Amino acid sequence: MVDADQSVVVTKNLTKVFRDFWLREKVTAVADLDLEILPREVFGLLGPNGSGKSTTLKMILGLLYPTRGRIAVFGRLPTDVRIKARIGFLPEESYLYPFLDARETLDFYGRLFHQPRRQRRRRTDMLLDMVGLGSVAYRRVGEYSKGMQRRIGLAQALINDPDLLILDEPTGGMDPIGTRQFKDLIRTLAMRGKTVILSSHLLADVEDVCDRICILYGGRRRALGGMDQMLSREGLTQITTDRLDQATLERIRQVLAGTGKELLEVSSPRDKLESLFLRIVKEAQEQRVATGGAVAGGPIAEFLRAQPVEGKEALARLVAAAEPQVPAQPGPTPPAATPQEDAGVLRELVELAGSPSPKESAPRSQEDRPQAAEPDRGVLDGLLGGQERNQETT
Amino acid sequence: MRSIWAISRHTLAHCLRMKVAGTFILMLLVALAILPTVMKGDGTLAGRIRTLLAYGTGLTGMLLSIVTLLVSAGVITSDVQGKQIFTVATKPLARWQYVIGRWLGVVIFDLALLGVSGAAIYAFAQHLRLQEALNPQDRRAVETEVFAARRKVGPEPTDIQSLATQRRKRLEEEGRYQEALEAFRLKARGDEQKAKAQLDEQILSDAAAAAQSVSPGGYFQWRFNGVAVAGTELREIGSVIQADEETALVRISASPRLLGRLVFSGPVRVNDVDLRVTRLEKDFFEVEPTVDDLAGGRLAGLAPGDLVEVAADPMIQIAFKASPAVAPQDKLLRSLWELGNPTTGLRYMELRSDPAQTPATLTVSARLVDPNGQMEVRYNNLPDSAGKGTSVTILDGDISVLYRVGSFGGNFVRAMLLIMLQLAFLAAVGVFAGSFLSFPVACLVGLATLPVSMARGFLSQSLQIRPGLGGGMEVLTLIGGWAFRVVRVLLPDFSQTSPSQSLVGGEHISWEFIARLGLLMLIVRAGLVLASACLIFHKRELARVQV
Repeated sequence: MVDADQSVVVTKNLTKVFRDFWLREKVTAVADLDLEILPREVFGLLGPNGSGKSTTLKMILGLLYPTRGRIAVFGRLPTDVRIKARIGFLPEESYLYPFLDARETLDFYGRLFHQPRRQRRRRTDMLLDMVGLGSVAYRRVGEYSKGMQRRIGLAQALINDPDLLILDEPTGGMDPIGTRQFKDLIRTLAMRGKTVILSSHLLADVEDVCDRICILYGGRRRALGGMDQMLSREGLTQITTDRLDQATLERIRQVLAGTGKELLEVSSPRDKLESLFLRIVKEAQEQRVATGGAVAGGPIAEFLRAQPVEGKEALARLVAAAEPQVPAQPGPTPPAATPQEDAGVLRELVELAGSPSPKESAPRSQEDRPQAAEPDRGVLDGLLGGQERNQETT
Repeated sequence: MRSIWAISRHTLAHCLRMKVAGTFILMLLVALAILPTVMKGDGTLAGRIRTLLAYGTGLTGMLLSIVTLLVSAGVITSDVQGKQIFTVATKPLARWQYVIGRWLGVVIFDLALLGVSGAAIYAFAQHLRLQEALNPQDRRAVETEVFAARRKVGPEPTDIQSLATQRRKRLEEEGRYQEALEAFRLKARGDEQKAKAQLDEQILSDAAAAAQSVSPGGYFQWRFNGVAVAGTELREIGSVIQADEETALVRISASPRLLGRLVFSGPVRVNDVDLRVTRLEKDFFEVEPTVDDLAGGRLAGLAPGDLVEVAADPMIQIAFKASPAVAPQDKLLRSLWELGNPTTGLRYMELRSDPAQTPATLTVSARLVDPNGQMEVRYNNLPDSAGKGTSVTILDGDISVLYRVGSFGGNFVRAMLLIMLQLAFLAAVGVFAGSFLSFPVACLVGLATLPVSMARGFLSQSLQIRPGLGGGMEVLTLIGGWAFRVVRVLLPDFSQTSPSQSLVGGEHISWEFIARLGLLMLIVRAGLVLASACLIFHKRELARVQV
């Protein structure tokens, strides 16, 4: 379990300069990067190609050495073997041994964590079931599709129930079922007090799961902050209600006009393509349609869930039970999701529609995330496109 | 250790699934099956078995060396190139554990392949052993010279230096030294020092040639020390089956245990009379006593049904090769061998005709060796039937005493261990090269190591500085010599790890030799190479530029 007093990853003036054969400076991949990643947060590293995301991750993992600056992971150097027992890593491609089958692959990585045979077997079974590869466990990994390789790659990253999970483009090549399950897994791990660092181009994935993000461009930090804080549009309010007829809408417009506000957009929310896809696949699975590929993943492996499954983990759970089970909000507390709008206007609108009071804001979940965040993708895309925005909050 | 073992197991699985193992075993089995039929050696069964052992072990050593270099160079480079190292190096595993684990995995793989090929060679050899021999001598050679583990003892070295000093003194006394020096002065273009050095070298060379050759009627005499023959005589009662005074032939039945100790043409004592076995069968043997022994000696009046005391001593063999100055017409060299125990005074003599320039063996009783392990041997160069003869040369390295100290099976296992030491070192070289080079370059480095190590002895001789070379050549030789000294420290001499010669000659490979070689090759050299690999790999960045 992560020590709450300790930052999981700290970088200070982290710089990586790649040199050519003659030691001439070729490119600065990361420049003076300061980061502090706290326990129990899901941290997103964003940036266009070549922005230094992977280089940063590789320095955190000790695969590359900084040219200047310092890194501490769990308070130690990244090359320290002791900290690696607490880390799980999924590279941008799975990079597995093609001559091993899925079971042998997980067994091999389990051995590197000195896990006893029984534990390796149990975890292998649970992970294979979780990533939906139980039925193809004896096929060589080299024969797997890219998405299946990502799944087994994810399983190997979780074999040690890591305190820090580092994921580089984790959903690349994964089908929507796997992606969805993967996002659920991240949230589950975060609920258990694990720290996740996620680097991805798929902004929707990042948006769905991350507590905080850092946007890199040209190896430099362009933005850093809480997801809600960075994406909330302070000046707008969105209300979701049952379908309204034109007359009601007109009355709402009038009410708003009376308070000097304007109704900017009225639309029927669309279903997400992800939800549609998942529904159709679920139907096919219920009809037992044959497939040679990965099947729907099973439940999240027992040892990765909150329930105690093994002696050591039981102890960890007991310790965890004393801690808050909601992800801590790192850094400055972001503003509340619902701004302090004119309460009178809201009350009037509720009465007007004759509908029950709006749902209270629950802890974030995939389904309940407001669609209002969608337009902000333009802000992010603008940044990724090179437009300099000054959104730094820390 | 568990991390190292995990990596080793993984490496072994990797190697086995590369299909290298199957290809290697197939190639070896085909080669072993073909070898005895294609290569007949000298036509004898012993020759065929020797050919199998020589080429089988040589081929195994060479093929496995190449396989080892390729595999060991690939185990790390493929991980780095395929980026699997990202998922391995981020696990709780020190870099040195990874390197050692990879090396150990290759060594285990080698051990498995060597085990299979060794078993195949051994099985083929035993199969050939069951075949019919050309003649009794052939069978004796098979049993006592091939399927044996014999310790080899060379003679006390001839003091060539003192012989050269005597020769020079004699030349000076006769006033011929200055005369010879004048000739060398001309050759050395007036350089007095150089001329003297060259003349002294010539005298030394002449003394060596004179000490190791003998004219007709003359003799060589050698003294052997440290002949520690194990075992004691076996004494049993035998029964006379046949005794013929006319043909001087006595046939005696004896127990299988005693018969197992006898060899054709080997020594045996009957009623304490030293004799030779002239025929050896499953349940009897024959000897040919002298007429005197049968007439009035301890074998007088022998008749079928009589009981006799038969003693089989441990045996020793004198292996030698005589080279004539001029080949005799019948190509046979006649000699009288005299062997003696310096302490007891026991002597043995044997007249022989041996093919010129061909290895030959004289089998005698170990009683000729005194308790201190000393024995004297004298070779008399006899003229031929026409009263003529030729000078014969027997170099110190061409004569030795051999005596059995162990079994062929044990020796064969030790021979395989010698190959294994070589492979373990080569695996270290391959892993070292792979720790910082790409696969093709690592292979190149590894494969360059192999011939240099194999030719180390030759290179050592050829790069010795000799006087008389031109100035420029001396400098070049000097540089080459220093370069080779560095190579000699880093690389072992693979001629020491080639067991072919020992197996072919039935020579014992001692555990002490293996331990000494293992210490130098495995602990010191491979250890240094692996330590360097660990250090380099520890310092190395495992990811590459991707911006």
